[in-house]
Amino acid sequence: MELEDLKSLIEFLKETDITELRIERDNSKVRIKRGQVVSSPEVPAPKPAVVQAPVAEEAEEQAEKLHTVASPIVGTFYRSPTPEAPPFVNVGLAVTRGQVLCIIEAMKLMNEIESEVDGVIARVLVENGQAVEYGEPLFQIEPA
Amino acid sequence: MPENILRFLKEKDKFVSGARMSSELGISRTAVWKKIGILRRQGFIIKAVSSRGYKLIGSPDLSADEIASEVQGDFWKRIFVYESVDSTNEVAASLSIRHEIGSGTVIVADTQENGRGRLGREWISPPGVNIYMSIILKPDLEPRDATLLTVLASVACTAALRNTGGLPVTIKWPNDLLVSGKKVGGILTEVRSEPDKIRNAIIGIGINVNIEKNNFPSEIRSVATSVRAETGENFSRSGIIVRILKEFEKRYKLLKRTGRGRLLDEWRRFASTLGQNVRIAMGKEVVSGRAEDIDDEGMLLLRLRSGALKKISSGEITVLR
Repeated sequence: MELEDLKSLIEFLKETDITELRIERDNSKVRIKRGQVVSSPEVPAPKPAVVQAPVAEEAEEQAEKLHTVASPIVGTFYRSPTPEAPPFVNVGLAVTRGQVLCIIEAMKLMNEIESEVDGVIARVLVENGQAVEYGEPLFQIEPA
Repeated sequence: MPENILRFLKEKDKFVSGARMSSELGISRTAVWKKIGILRRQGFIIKAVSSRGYKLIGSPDLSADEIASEVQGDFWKRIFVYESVDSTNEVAASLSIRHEIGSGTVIVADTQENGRGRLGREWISPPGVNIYMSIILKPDLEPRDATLLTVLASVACTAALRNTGGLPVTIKWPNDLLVSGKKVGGILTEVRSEPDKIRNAIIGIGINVNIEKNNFPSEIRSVATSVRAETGENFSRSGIIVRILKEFEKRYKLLKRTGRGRLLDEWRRFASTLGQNVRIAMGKEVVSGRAEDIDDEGMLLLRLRSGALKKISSGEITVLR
């Protein structure tokens, strides 16, 4: 869904009484919630909803589309097979299902973590050599 | 396969006629004769006396057929022995991923061109003296329990080596095998995981067997040892491999049948790390405390000075004296 489409959709909603709308089409999902902007004493005059809305909704659309790879184990995160070697993946790299993304080391056991999806690496969420917990997000992949 | 003949000769341990082997194994006498030839070329000494038959007198130090004749069955499916490889873990990885070689395959090499320790460090791998082997498994375990494979391999190797000349081997958390504080062996496990299941596991095992003390490179001479250096005797590498594989199979089946409790207890009994004051370097961070126990996944539980218990998943550990 294009940003222009979203904007016109929001403009359209403003003229109605509809407060929440979900659209699922092909690969994209959009949820627009027209918030009552509740003003509270600490917060100065809220910004006009219409300015905020497209950004927030665009982010939500992005987040819903991205696939998050979580660590299946507790250990240390390594981006390359040896300290001298280049990283397995970088942001922008196209990866295929089954491709190795990183190594998590625990008890000197090297666990190569495979991608579950085809797509493009959108974000690398942890630093090389960093300790990771069970379930901690490691990468975000934009599915192909 | 020649290992059938080998198994037969070993079981009988006396002269057996070619005709008897031919009928009991259901192969022709020519086939018996050919297989005896293959075994002899591999270094087996088989005495032949006309009218009495064949008798096994001696075995080579490292032989796939020798190992297979002892362990091959429902668990260990294939044993490959190579003269020289890059590293046995490398061969195992390529066989299991590119050629879909299944669980229960064992890769052994006489020498490694590029033997590896953790994170690409070198593992000294001269020919003719030591054990370099990798086990391919497709274990029905979750990725978070993969560490149990390192626990299992450490315990199996320790049990096997204790039965080899009574060597007093202990385990240094997480994966080193020590005799009197020096390294006699190590384990490097590499696992490939999808998020919720292990696709395959490769357990690399290196044991210093018959290498002379003076043949270790000078930079590791003070921290490394071998079975020979400790006992003054040479041992058959096939024999030790067979013991390791049998101990491994036994414990793996027990783990599947009854859970991890007994395995972890056995590890605790073999460990030299527990109860010691240690310093652990984890990247830039260094912590010290008393190594109190391991948890259900084999992670080290460290009692800090503050009294808090800290779980350690990896790091370089030094025992403080």
